[in-house]
Amino acid sequence: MKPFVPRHLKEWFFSENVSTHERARIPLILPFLLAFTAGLLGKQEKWFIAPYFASGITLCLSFFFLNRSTKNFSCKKASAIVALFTLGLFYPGKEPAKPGNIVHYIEEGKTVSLQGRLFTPPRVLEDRTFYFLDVESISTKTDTRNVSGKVRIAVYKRHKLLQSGEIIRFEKIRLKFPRNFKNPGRFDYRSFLKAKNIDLIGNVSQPETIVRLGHFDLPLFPGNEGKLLQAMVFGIKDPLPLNLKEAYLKTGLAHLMAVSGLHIGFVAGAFYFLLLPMLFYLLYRFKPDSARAGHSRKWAALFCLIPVLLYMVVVGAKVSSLRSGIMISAFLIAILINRKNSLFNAFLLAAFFILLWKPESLIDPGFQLSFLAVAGILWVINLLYELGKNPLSKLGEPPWHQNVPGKEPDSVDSSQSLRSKMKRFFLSSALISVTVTLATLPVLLFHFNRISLLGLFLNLFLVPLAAILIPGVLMVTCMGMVSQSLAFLPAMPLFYLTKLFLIIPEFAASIPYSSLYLATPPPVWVLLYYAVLVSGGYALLKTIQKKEIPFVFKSGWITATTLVLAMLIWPRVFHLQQNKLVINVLDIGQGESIFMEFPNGKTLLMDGGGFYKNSLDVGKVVIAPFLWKKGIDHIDYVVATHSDNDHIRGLDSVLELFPVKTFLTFGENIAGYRLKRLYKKAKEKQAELVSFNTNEPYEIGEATLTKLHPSPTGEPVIEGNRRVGNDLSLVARLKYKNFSMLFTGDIGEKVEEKLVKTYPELQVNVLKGPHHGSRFSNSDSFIRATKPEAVVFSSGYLNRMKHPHLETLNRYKKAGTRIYRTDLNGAVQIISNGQTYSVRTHDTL
Amino acid sequence: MKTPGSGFKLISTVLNLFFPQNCIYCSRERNGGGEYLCCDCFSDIGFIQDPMCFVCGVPADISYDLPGVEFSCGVCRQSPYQFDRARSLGHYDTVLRQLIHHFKYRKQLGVLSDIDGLLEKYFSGCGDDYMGFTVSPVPLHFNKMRERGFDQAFLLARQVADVLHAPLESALLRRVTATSAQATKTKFERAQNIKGAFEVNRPDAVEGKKVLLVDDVFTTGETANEAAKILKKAGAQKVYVFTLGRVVVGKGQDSL
Repeated sequence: MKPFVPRHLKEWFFSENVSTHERARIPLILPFLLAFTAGLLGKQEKWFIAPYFASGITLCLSFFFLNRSTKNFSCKKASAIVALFTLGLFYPGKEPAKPGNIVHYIEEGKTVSLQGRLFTPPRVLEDRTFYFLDVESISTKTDTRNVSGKVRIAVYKRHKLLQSGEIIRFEKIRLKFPRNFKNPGRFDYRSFLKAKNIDLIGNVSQPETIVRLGHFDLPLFPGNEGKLLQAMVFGIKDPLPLNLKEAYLKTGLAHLMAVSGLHIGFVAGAFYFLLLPMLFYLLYRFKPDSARAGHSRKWAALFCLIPVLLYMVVVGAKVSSLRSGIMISAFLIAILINRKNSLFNAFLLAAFFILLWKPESLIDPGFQLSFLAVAGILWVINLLYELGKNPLSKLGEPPWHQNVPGKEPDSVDSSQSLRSKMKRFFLSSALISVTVTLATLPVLLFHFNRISLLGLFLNLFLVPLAAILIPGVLMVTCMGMVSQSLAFLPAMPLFYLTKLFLIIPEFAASIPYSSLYLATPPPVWVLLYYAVLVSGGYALLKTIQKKEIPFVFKSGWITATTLVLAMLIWPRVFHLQQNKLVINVLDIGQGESIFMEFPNGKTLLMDGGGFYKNSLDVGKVVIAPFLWKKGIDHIDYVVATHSDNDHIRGLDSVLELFPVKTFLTFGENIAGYRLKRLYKKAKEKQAELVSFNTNEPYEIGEATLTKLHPSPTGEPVIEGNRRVGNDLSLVARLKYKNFSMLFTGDIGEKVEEKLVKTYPELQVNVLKGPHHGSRFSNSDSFIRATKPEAVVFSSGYLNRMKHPHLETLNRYKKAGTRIYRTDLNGAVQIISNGQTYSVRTHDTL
Repeated sequence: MKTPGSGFKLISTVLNLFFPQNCIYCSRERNGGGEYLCCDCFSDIGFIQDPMCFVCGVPADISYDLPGVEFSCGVCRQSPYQFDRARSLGHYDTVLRQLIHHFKYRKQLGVLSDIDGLLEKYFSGCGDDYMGFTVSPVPLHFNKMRERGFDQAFLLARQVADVLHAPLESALLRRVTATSAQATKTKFERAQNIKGAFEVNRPDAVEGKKVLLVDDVFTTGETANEAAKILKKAGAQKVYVFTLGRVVVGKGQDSL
């Protein structure tokens, strides 16, 4: 590394005006944690920049910190690093299903009967209820056997709630393996459920049985306030109204609902500072020497462990609560055993324990958010130490708020004015808010593609209030268990405080541009971003210390920052023009959505899928993430083939989330009311409505899209047929040099017939099979006329209509056509350079 | 400085990994030093040895002519202290200062075990000088103690009593006024500040007794002086003062 870094730059960066031995040391556990993490990363199949890049760099860091943390770089320690790395590599993650597990005995889609015990309270959503069943036995028509395993059961219709702990028999239930939408960059739903130990999911359409359940309620706090408090205090988010949840997401306050250091820290802090004076007085009264010897602190720490552990049990094993629970316990134990309570070390310990317990949490957004936020805060604290003029302040780790500039940590002052206290408090919460926002930005971007612009300010204001609210509610609830009327009085002010938490986020969310959706920047961006952040913080420190910043560094930093911003705003700024046409037939369950990237870089979305009764917002949950992960933040052309829900429902959200330049429309008289509504919405969203006319080739770069059907008047409308809507589907031919593909919407035989008659040269390379492969389309004559080399069907896995039909498949097989289907192959990508083409599937996602 | 068995060693290894504690002065691994100091820093703590003022214990400059064993310094001759003798373990600078800071302000009570070792070494030769003394801390005001959570002078006094095998009397005196901290004041201000701060709590335990007052730091001696005055008034036969650190003008007091 030496020759690459200019000497003076290196000196400036690493030199300290304090002699090295006064610098805070790096805990030995850091290199160990990094080594283990490197091992876990090495096991990940995911590529980040290059294979094993993340793992390798983490291992290098591990050795680097080992070198820094210990003067005598011993063989023993180095081999411990290697051992931990190996342990990580071979650390058992998810266990394979044991014999006797239910997964071995089911046939997907068949109705069976299940018996078992509900092991957690149900999740009650607006339109359905999820139960979690610990299965004991499964019965089919022929036999019954005892099995193990856990199943999540969705009940859609209204029914009396079942209670956790009850033994339940579900007479008629259809079971499925949890299934991912197999699009590149998708959310790994299967792993998500697997992490919750769910083996199978099932649906119940006719609810039967049961006993009335005692809701988990906060009786003192009725209404939405109560629901909000349940979410904030116990992390029970499901009963929250959707708009409130959305408001919290939008305003960057959702972290208040993940029980974390904020909560457990508040509880521990509140108990500690209430108990300490009480215990001190008591001890001083009865055993003054014990009070003088400082035993009250130890007793307070010991008693604080109890509510902390209880709270952790109530909240359950979630990453954020575990992290803070472990950190705070370590803190309290340090007081008990007379050790320095180093936050950094406790932080590393927590990470180590959590990774040992559940290695797959490494890629869990909750884990990443939680740890990055705390790491950011700790790093800033460390910078502030360096700032402190008194070299003594670099030792030990007193609470962070004593280290905001302007405060000498070693002075004995108790007589600080209220104003300076307020100022310090405000300064530190502002600093923390900024730090956390910056530190977690890439995680939010990569997992959720959404950042909140108001969050910074709202957190500043609401987090301190939450610090009062959360322990307050806990205490009032405990009081309420003894006597409702006693708790009523203190509950009142808390109730009104909660109202603030309802009103402010909802108001803030209603402000336009309170949050932004951003496409995912390329992976290198993450490295660059953190490099800019860390070196920027360091440079800021040096500036405050009135030290000259080398020009090389300054200019380098500014360049890098510009680069980071550019990649954020234009994620495809370094995307090379490849002169390739890429057609993605997406896996969106039952329905259809096709995304095309043209050789000139323009994009077109044809249809947006949609679930029955919109039970899943396909546009937002499936299509948008797919586009964002590709780095796409706007769409040039959108076209809707026809009025069916499973084709256009998702376009609603797409229009909400992405700016659309041009919306291709058909004539007024053939567009159904759903399409018309969509056109109206597109217009509201400033898309240009362009009429897409029959037989007028629409040129997009070198490619052309030609509409073949329907004719502007809608002729021939097939009267007396229930598939009128389908038969008005757009049929369009895409041509790029020598490559051609035909898109057929949901047309039926009659339209196929008409097409064959009207267009003698219908031959294409690839055909999008009409109507998801229905046997009432895909006629032999149509197949003969189009002569496709490959056909793609978009269809949902085990869909009710049984698309694509066996008969249809046979027709194509006979014609020698290769068959691709999204239910089995996942997203089907057709990539063409105008001469040849290749097809990529995503079967294993 | 014990020689631990293998089981103990394992526990301490784990403990050091979970709750690491490097030397509080040099930040290096402690490698068998104390609980908070490494070997080198431990031996860097220099005891105040003769020549020094027989009364207040201030170390004498080498340039002094040594008039005899029981000489007294200029300060003691000009305005005599009320106590009979004051001694300090070491200079209040570098390592010792760090140790006391950790103890008093960072509330790291673990350093007591290191201080214990120092006291044992310091008092190993002079146990006889303190025969018949009652050890008592310079009292801390209740409010201050509640704020801090403990009484550092009491903890030191307890250790000293332990080492000297002398009786400990924790509440001989009482602080009646909550004075502001002495640490940032001049000598004159300190004298004004501390005036009338103490009261004798148990006159019966003072009358005719020899008292060893213990505190953490001796700077100008005004606090110890005031306490000694009250004790003498109540009929104490002799008052000695012992502090862990000693501020000597021109030595390690950059923060004053």
